[in-house]
Amino acid sequence: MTTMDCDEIRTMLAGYADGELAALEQEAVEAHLAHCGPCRALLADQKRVQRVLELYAPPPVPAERWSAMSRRLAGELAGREHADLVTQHRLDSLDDLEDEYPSEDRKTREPAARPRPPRPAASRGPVLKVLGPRAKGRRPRFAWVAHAVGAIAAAVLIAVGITTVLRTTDFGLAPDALATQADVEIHEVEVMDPNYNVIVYAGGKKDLAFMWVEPVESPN
Amino acid sequence: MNGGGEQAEATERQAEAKRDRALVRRLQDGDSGALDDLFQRHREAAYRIAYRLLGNAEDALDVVQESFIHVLRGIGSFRGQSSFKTWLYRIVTHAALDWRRCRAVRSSASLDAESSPEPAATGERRRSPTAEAVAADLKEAIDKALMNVSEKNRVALVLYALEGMSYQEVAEALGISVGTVMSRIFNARQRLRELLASEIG
Repeated sequence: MTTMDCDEIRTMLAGYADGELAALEQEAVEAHLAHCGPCRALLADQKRVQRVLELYAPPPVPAERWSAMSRRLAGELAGREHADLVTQHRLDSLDDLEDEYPSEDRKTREPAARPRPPRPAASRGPVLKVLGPRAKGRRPRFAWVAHAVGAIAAAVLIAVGITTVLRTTDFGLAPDALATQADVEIHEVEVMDPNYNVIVYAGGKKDLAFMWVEPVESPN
Repeated sequence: MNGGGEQAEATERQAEAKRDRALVRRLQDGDSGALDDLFQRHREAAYRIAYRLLGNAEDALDVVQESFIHVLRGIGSFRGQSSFKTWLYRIVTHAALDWRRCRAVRSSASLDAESSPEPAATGERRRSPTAEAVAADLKEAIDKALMNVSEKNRVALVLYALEGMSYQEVAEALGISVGTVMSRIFNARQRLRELLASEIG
């Protein structure tokens, strides 16, 4: 075995004290320590400091503090899920759009299999009214603008008998580009005619807002 | 460490890592229960790391929260190339060091022309009453001494000596070699030995 000097041994002393050395290294250190008092003293220091540190614990955290933090994290996760939910609704709507207006490159796709969750007819009233976000979560900064514009436009469209879907491409916004928008939220607006649902897709940025008008689904 | 004990410890670590992987997969699917489980399993360790890098409980708790939010935001892209624990500890370490740097900037800005005292004393917030009640002179001295160990050496020592990570895990968490880990831990302990000479004899 090659004899190592003190400098070489000291690079391994911590590992030796912690049992982290390979067998050969360990033997080399032991051979050196057998005849080197200063290195033995350093080893003793390493162990002593380690023992002191192991006795040292930070102050305990009150349970309510952990609970509050847990709630905060759950809220953060719910926010993410809300964003995912919006994405799902958005993709559903795009599938429906494609069913009605198949684009050349998507004609071979299967029709959308995901059914849209029915909205209760009883919640619709006789006046134009904004219902607000469909689920709790971050409100887009310009949501109120989208609500107002969407509601007014929906009323006008229904009044003149336009009840088909407004395609995102009509606004120069490709569905794929829309699908990458993380901040989109869905807002439902209530209109005077109970036979139609109007949904406004509102982004957290000013450059995204469009509306969708659909006939109310039959209970059967 | 004897061979049997080492093997049992390695087996236990593998079992824990496997449990974490299962929870991570559930969390990636949006399971809030998995988030809670991961939080409960690792929050204390995350807190201890942050506390030992920052020296006070309030800052440490802020860092723990920030770290788990970071985890939540990054969990979708976590591919399990390292263990969840290693990944989390790396996040906590970076968050704590960033926190400390920001705190130092805030402190120096508020000190005006007054000469600054020891680094450990400049940024510390008031300790909690519980900590005050529990803290002995030695504990206070260790807190202060740790803050006066160089950042690199302190991080390696905290992750190994106080959190039970292996040298290999510390190396992975910090992106350095095992030899460097060993050297940093040695230097950190030697520095503590000097700083705590009057307390530990």
